[in-house]
Amino acid sequence: MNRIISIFRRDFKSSVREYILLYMMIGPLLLALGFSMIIPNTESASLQFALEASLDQSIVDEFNKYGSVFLFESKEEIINRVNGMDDIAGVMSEKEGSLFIILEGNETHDTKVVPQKIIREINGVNDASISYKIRDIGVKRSPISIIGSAALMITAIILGGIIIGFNIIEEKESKTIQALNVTMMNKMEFIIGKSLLGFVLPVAQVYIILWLLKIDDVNKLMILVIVLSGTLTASVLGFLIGVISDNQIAGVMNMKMIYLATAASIVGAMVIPESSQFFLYILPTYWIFVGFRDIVSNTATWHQIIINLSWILGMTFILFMLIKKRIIRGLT
Amino acid sequence: MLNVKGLYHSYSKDEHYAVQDMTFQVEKGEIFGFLGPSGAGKSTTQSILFGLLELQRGEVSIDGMSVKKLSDDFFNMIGVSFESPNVYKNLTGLENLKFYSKMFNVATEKPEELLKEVGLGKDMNKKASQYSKGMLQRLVFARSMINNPKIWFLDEPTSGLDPETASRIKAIIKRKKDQGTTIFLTTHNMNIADELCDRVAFVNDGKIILIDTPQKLKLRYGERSVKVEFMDQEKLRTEFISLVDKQGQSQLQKLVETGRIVTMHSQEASLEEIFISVVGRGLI
Repeated sequence: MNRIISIFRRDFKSSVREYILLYMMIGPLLLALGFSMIIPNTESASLQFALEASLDQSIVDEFNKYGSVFLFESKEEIINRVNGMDDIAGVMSEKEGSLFIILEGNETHDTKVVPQKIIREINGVNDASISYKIRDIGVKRSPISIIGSAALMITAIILGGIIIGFNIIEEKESKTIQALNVTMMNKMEFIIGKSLLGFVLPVAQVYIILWLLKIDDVNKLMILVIVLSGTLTASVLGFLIGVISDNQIAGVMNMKMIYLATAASIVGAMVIPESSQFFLYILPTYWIFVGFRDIVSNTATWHQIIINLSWILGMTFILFMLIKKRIIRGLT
Repeated sequence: MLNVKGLYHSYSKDEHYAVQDMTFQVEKGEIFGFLGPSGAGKSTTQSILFGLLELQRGEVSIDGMSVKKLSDDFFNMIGVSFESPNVYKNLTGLENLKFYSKMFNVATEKPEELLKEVGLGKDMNKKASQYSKGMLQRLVFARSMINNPKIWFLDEPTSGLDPETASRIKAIIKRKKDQGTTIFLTTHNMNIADELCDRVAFVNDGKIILIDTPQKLKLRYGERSVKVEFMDQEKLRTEFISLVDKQGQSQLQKLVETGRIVTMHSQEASLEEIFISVVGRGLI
């Protein structure tokens, strides 16, 4: 165990001192940070209203029927909130008690129009020119948010495997693997020690990504199950990159090939009709992506997650058996 | 300590042997030189001895343990200083040694002390990527001592070192020998072998050509004569005088008595000359 931890610590230390690996480690988090600024956040998929706290409870209740209501003590606080990055309509009262709406100007159509409709309802004004049917279809998150977060999480997992691969390439290039082979360290310790970084890093990154994207109402255990099974796939791919690449340039080339397959899984799952997606089933990355997508959109069931898990583990096992000899030979 | 009997190895697993029919023993506390040109089979043999290459045919045992079944005790007992500077360039010298010390189950040497011993005390906290070739060589050398090995495999330990540092490394090797460490030294530097080794084996084309002490080899293959430079009627003359026949002995005695000798060198053969005469090729 001591040796496994030592290998893990060495790899971590070495990775943060190697720019290409450092970028891979922080890349998904930077992307998530950037993504969080350009996608609507979790709440903005439904309508949001910033109301004065002094308004009648009946008014607040009426707005609550159509979206999320946030109460503020002063008009300044409401204005500040409306000026925030996401879509939210501010509703304030004038001295005589009439309600008025303030907007930043770049809100979506619904955010602009629905509050008007609600105020008319409250005031008993029935404007025949406006006809609205508002129906909750259960979608709480925008498709961009779902696809984007799932893609970022799978990226973090795959990059974890690639970091393993590059650390193996380093061992091969510097021939340090020879020096380790004349110590008590056995191959299994080496493999586990090398893999640890590919497990620990994505687990941490995935939860940080969810936090950065403000996706907190998802089943965290389901996420963990998919992340852990995904890291197994990524580790096997990482070892494959490590043993078949003689240097970092070859490693980058092989990394691109692996990421091409990952991108194919993501794009395939998005654009191909579900009935025709069967030929993507052999790609574990397809099941990882679909798993994340369903969890983030809150449509995943444990039954579905177990099916995903079975495919991921099954396909990874087959892949490992196919390349096992090559990996063991490459580590000698 | 080290017993090798009928050792063969073929990379293509056929009759094209890189190593064939090697048999030798190394006693405890002995420095055994394994000398030969590049491609002679030195590295292959060495790799089999410390378990990097699979033993295909023959018997190899170290301290009674066969390399066929490598145990934990085996690796605790050996130290290997590779010729190539195979260290982690992103780690400091000290971090390299600390990491490596975790790979053994025996009490290990203090990394700081080892680095000071090989002259890297001031640079122990520098990343290995900033080390010169000689410094890397010393780091690899220091690393091979971390588990205080009973049998120590050294591959060109002074290669690329300046004379002062090489002298420091040779002193460490001699001290380890005095402490009872068995040393298997692979080199093509005959001067190092001559200076350090109790016995040497000449290797060529995968075979051991001969094994003996450097002293005996020199006596066996060298000429028993001296090269004398002396003054003769105010001119400097050079003559090779035999130490074996009576005429030579008397000529030498006269020169000594008249005090005309300027320089005198015995003409024993160097290991390199012996190697060339036995093998028919040089060491490069």
